[in-house]
Amino acid sequence: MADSFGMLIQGFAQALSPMNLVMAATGTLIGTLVGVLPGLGSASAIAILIPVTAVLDPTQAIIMLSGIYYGAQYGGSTTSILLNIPGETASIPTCLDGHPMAKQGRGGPALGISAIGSFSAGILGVFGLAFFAPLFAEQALQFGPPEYFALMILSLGIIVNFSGEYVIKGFIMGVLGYILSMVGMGITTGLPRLTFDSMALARGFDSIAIIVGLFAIPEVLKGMEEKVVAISTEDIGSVYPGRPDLKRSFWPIMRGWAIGFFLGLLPGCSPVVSTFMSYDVERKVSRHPEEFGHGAIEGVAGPEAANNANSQAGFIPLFSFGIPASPALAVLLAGLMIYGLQPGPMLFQQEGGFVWTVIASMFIGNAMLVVFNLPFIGLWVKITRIPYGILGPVILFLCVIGAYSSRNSLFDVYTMIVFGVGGYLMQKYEWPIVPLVLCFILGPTLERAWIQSMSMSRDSLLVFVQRPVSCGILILTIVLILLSAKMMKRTKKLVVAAAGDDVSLSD
Amino acid sequence: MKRAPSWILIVVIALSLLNVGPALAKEADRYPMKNVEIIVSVSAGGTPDVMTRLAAEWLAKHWGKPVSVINKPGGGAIPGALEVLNANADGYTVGTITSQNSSQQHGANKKPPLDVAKPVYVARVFDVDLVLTVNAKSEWTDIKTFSKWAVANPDKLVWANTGTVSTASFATAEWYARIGGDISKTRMMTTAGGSESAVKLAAGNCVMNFGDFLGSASMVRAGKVRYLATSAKKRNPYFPDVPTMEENGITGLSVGMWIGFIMPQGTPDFVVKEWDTAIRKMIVDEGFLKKLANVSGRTAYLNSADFRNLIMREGATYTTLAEKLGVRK
Amino acid sequence: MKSRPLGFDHAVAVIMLVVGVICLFEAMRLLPFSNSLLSGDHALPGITGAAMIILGLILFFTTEARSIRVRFPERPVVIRLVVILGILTIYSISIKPLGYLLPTGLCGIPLFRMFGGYTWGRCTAISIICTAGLYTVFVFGLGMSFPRGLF
Repeated sequence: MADSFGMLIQGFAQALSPMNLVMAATGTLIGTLVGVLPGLGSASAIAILIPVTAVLDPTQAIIMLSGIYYGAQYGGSTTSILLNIPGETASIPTCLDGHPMAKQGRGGPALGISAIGSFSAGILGVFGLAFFAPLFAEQALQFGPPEYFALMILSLGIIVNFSGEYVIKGFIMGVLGYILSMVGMGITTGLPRLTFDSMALARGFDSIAIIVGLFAIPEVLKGMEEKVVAISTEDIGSVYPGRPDLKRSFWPIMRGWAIGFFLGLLPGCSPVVSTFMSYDVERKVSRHPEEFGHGAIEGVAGPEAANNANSQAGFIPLFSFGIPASPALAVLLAGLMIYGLQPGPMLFQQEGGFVWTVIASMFIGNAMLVVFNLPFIGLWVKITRIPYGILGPVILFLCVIGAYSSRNSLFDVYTMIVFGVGGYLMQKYEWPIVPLVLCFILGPTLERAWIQSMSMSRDSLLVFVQRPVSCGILILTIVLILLSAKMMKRTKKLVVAAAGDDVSLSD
Repeated sequence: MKRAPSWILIVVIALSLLNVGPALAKEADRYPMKNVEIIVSVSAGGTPDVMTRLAAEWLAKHWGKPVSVINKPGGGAIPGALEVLNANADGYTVGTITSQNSSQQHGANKKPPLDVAKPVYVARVFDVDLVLTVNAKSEWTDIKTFSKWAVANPDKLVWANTGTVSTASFATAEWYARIGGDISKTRMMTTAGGSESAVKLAAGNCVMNFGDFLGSASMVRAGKVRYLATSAKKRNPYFPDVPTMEENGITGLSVGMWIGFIMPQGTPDFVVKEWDTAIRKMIVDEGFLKKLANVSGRTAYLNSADFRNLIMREGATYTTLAEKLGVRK
Repeated sequence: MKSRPLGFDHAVAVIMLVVGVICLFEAMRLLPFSNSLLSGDHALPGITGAAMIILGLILFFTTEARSIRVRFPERPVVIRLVVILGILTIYSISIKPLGYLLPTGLCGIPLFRMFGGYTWGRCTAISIICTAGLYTVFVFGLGMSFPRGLF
């Protein structure tokens, strides 16, 4: 470790060279922009820029490309908080409390805490990458199909908490999410499933089209219906989180980091799991769970920290074994290989200079992001004061772009509109949307983990309880569900006491 | 409506600007005039993807127009390829095709989802050698002992693939048949791609994985996974220490993997010609070959007609193979 | 503000039952292609199909116990919502034949009118500015490829 420390100092010396600083700044700025604009993921941004960086030397190129990757996590919260448009599924928890905050005129503190949460988690994440990469990577490798399956079941336990009052509706939505995720080609045989011989359905539904449809469109329609003048007419007030906000957010950020970091080590485990889990944990440990969904700052701080820690942790399996944990990292991996940098433990030894310079640049890049982002908050928050007559249609246009661009397919735009109408009706009739989205995203992972587990065990269900880790996760799931049931009763009582009326928790 | 004249003017100007179309010169001389998209039907970072990106980078520089790579993974690489076939036949949507989503799916299905007669074949560009890998902690250090064990223990042989119709499946089934085993007694483990297969192998969740060299190269370097033997006729130039199956007496293996480009039916000839010319320049370009060596890639150019013939020939081979192996559905 | 008795949940329950049955049929169709009962492409459709049928039945027979009062907006607002969704649909359908610029500019005008109630002239001006901005950032700047359409 002392050795690593010395290497890191050398890395800093390298990373602080003017050219490398410029690269880190460029990368993080592009990343922020990519994150803020809906409809362009960091994976496509990195892929677009790999050829452009060909003129640079490999270290500079990778500094810039990874800057885009973690920079995008910072920007991603902006539209979620201000417009209630989650740019990706992992940002949905941020919407749940971030947007109510923005409506109350506290968009500034919400954005601020999300930047600070991302920064803290990012720095801690890079720290883990610098000093414990080999150790963590080794452990993550032991996480086999039964463990993934158990983890997916644990995520399902979360659904109960997002189901509102009437749990059966939550379950129906969850099962519907799975069914929607199966539309397309079967994962083992490659035969079409639930496609009704339609070519468009053969590719399945796109997650961006579904979440934009279910969240953003009803939001715009609701704004229109309620004759909103602007998202927030409140006085903006301070754009920075105050001391009480920071104090309330400290532990959520730490917990969010821990959840995000450890789940981020597992390739193939969607960041969605970590942000939802962080949100759920915060609601469980909070002394005032009734505030969640109505602008609790912990509900922004935790998931944002988890999201960023998740993305930083993804570098560990990437550098150690060449395993990409997300589509964006897969593209980055291709970049590494094209530059002749072969991931593996040897990368740390043979290309030590490169690895440590990149790691040092991540510290610097994260710091830059906060420095760049905080002054921008005042500007972003002004978006909420734009007259709704202008902002509404612009949001609709952005939704179309977002739905279209993730697969360049107009079918996804039609999907978005259909889900938009569905989402609007579901909200009216108090049907919870989150379980549908969560199950839709996790469906393929769950199915694959199940099929793989069955292959391993030759169709013995005992495999899930024989392996200690999967057994442990399953026990944790049961505990969490019981806890949730108790919590829900408590929350309902609290809410009823506070509002004196039958208030639904689903919105 | 005091301001009416000014806004009408704006609209008129805007519309007239839109009408100045690019259709001024003959399209053939100017191809490509805009962004060309290459659809890759596997996930980013996989071998076909990396090779395509290298080619795209070179072509973009060559043409001075953006050439973007779009990944449409899943479903045994079929939906991505079908999308290429359904795209506008204007030469701006191109697809990467591999043996898996052309001749192999043709052989494995009585009603193939992708009709191999349909696409316009541009050229085959790359060839990828397959290698059998096992966990590095296992007792097997050579292919002979492993083969012997595999035949004796079909119930313990869990092998990775990326779908029943995949190169890994065909290669494993062919090898297993050659050494005298019955594949129907074994179990397969379907993963999302070569990278995941390597992870599952390193973790000991499966026993063997038949894949390309690059997919498990990092794992091999990390001492997690071991190359046993390649099914190629000759040793791979980048991995000269890995013996061939043939050297070890396992002969007659034909399953291979290659990467080429297709276009939708009806794509104008001048587009295909332009691509062919460019590709032939690319595969002798030193800068390109150097980068290709970084990812252990090999070029194996075939022109449009030869490429089509290869696929038709292979389609027939895979049909017999699939029938013999009992995977034809 | 009108209130109406609940019939929606019953309708959903019936739709879900149908969805469940379809899933079970898919599972049965795919079963012969899998090599074991528990694992294969048929497993999840089978499980979810069965679950959906059970949940649909439970919902159908228990939902009467509750009565949510759903508030729908007044008629003119509903009409406006429908018009907005209509414009959005026409817009997305017209991108393929007409390209990105023209439909965006044209559909923007009634959309801004519906949302903001500005004069037609102002709506046109806003729409042109908005279209130009979107085009510059996404198509020109970020290289997104929309259908080229007629132009």
